[in-house]
Amino acid sequence: MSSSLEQLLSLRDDPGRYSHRPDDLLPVQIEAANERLEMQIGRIPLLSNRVESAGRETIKEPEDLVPLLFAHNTYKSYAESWLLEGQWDRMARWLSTVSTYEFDTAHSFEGVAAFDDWIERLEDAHRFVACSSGTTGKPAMLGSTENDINFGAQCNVSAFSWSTGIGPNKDRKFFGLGPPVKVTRNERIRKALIAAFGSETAEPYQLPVPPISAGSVMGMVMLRRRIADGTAQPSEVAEFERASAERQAVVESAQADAVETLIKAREEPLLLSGFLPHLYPLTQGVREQGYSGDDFDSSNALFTAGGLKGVTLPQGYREFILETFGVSESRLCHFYSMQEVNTCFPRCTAHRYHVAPWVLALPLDDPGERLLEANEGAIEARAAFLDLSLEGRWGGVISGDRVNIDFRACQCGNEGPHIGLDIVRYSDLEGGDKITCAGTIDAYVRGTA
Amino acid sequence: MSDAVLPAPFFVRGRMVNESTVRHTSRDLGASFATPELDLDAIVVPRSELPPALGVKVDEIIDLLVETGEALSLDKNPHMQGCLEQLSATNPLPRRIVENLYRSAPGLLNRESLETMLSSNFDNRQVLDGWVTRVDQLGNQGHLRAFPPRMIHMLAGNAPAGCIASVAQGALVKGINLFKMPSSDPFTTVAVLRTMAEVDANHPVVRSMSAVYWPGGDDTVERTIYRPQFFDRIVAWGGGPAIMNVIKYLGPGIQLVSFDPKSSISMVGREVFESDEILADVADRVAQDTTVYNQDACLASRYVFIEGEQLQIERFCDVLAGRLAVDRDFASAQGPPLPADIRGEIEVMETMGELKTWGRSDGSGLVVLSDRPVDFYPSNKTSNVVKVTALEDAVRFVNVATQTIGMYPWHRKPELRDRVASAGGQRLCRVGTANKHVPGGPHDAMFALQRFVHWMADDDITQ
Repeated sequence: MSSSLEQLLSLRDDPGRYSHRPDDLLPVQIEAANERLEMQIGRIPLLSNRVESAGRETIKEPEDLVPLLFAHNTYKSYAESWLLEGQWDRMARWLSTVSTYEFDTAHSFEGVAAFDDWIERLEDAHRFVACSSGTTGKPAMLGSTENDINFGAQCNVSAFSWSTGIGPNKDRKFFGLGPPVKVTRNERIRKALIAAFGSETAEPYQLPVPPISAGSVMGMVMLRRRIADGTAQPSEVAEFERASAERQAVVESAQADAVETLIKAREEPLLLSGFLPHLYPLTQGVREQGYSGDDFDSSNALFTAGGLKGVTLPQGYREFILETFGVSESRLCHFYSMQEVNTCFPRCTAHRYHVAPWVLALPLDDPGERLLEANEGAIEARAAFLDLSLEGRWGGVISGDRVNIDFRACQCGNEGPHIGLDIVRYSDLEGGDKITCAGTIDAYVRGTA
Repeated sequence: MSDAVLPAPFFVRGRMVNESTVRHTSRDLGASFATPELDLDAIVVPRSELPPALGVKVDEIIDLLVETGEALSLDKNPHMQGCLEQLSATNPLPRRIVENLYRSAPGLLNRESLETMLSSNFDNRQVLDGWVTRVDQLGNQGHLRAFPPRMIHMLAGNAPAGCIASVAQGALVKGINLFKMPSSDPFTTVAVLRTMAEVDANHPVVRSMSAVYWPGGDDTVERTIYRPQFFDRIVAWGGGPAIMNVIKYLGPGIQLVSFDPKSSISMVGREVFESDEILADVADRVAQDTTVYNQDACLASRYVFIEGEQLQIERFCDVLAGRLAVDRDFASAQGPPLPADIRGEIEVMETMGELKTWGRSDGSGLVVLSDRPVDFYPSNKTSNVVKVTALEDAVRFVNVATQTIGMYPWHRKPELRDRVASAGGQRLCRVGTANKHVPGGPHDAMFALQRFVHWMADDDITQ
């Protein structure tokens, strides 16, 4: 008989995976959590620290997991100065503190010239580091294994099918409509989607913009740091601004290309993929050329995730995008996902995001310290999860999101915890009315956002 | 407590407005308070009207302020007593600290400090009371007046007595003053102005004052009134999104006088290790500077750059941690705990062996020793001690956001002060005195009153 962990992970592609009642699932999840903990406790120093301070090595109930969860900032806890100064061994030591990566001093990173080289050297050792792409703050760095990457990619495929009813029939032309990022995890997801749904005769399309590497994102972040420190030269700032403007121009001409290609392919069944703020200008472009929903294949599907990323779009933008490309609500796959968690949560017909059975949803109070009772109905909580699928790092993470979560059966007829569409970042809530005389040099840096 | 709706009246051009018609929620603690409806016409004085206090001599204004200061004495002022009760619902500072702040309030309005404020801002204070004439080499006359400005003061939420200094500044320049109160303290300014009105209800300075609340960033209010037709200056105490929002309304004729968001540091030379007594004294002084308003203040020290051997410095950290954990006039022994994400960051670095800690992250005081400043923002009584070979090396960590630099030993200040100024720093002091000031000094490297007034010239050129 397979272990509880194996049982849960084997549900990945099971059509009935969202039909398990939380109470029925919990004993298996707890057992699986103990399996995962046992595997990782000796490999992630930060986790063994936590277990030691919590004073117990066995999880009996969800509460026991709370002290073992890592704040999402954990994955940003390296020092920026190490990156600036190219202290790659030290970065590797950091990675081995927060993940199962084992840094062997015999394999020093000597000779690594830049961040991208460091990432490549780690990948040679089958360790994949995904970087969050924010350019204003410090990016998170998330280590994972080959298995994690593959599991996550396949998860996207299954969740897409679950959410749209579209099977892996290899009958669509794939359109990647966002600017590509050169991160292995993202590339694998794209490849998995193409392999499952892409027609073998229709060449997949990718917005023709050179992929941004993690290193160039990091370069922007580092420049911002040096501007703050006052060590960046004016010429460097000017060069950065020039490169940003150039990239913007490249993106705009690529968008024109995408509009043209979309219109050409309007009679084929399409699978569009991208964030809505990226899709909006393309939609406008298509409309400007006089095309709309009637011209596109009525079976088109859209794969998207996340919110508006700080972009303001006119009211009704979503319907505008869907209508233009002939995508019906039922063939829209919208995920709630985050870099820290390997599993994505697809949206159901009742407009709720469903948490997979191998992920424990742990609704916490605002400070992220106490587990909230959520069996009685929907509650507002800080989202935290234990994603049991992860082997490259500890899957227990406290997010920066405030969500509406409900453990009762969903109106869509499925079971398991589900999350409402209105997801707010705590960091956005902190703004508003606050005025204080205390602050840092970060408030004085302009122009590299 | 959060269920009760606290009444937060307005003070509009000398009169109390008491209705409680609009409900608001305080940002920090989520308490409910209710204000009157904001009457925009009432808070803007048309430019066709001369400023009410124009003809009042500045000496009389000082008399009014001094008398108000005496009347603010907490034991005999029911308005301030009432505020103290209400403030605990909206402000994160403990009641005892707010009480101490209120008790120190009359001192902000003492005659000597007001006189010094004037003399350090204006070479000849007659410019405030009338037209002062200068004559050039050719005999041309230039008449000059520091004409009263129309000002909006965006008050900071972290220092409940700070509004008293703003009231004094606004009064001394005879301005038409609109105080925009923060949600964490929609009470104190009104109580202060009310007290002033009780000293002399019809005083033109009193009639020049309004204190109201609207949620910071509320476009319907700000887009309407932040115009040069209505105001000359927006005085902003601090930073944050609310201030960033103001910037979009700036343009010709309306200027921002900004006391920017700041951090402060300490620099400790190797002389601290000359004796145990010195070490104990300096550690206590650093703790005093670190814990001001439980470290929610621009002048609160966050980093200590220190010379010495590793073991010596570790001993300093140990003593410092103990001293962070004591009750002081403006600090609690037990403050709010460090946010979980910062605790997490410290934990990772500690696990890696990159830093060492003393004390606790529960708000009683934490010392973090590292070989360079930590990336996170030390708060909630956290001091990041950074070893440097020489204090000169610490100057590279000083920047335009560095306000106060407390130093030990004192005699080394002159060696460093020009370099610190060049790096952007604004004030050096003896460690342990960050929260004390020589009266009349600049704030954030400027003399504010000079920048508030509308410098009006009337030239008689004859040749």
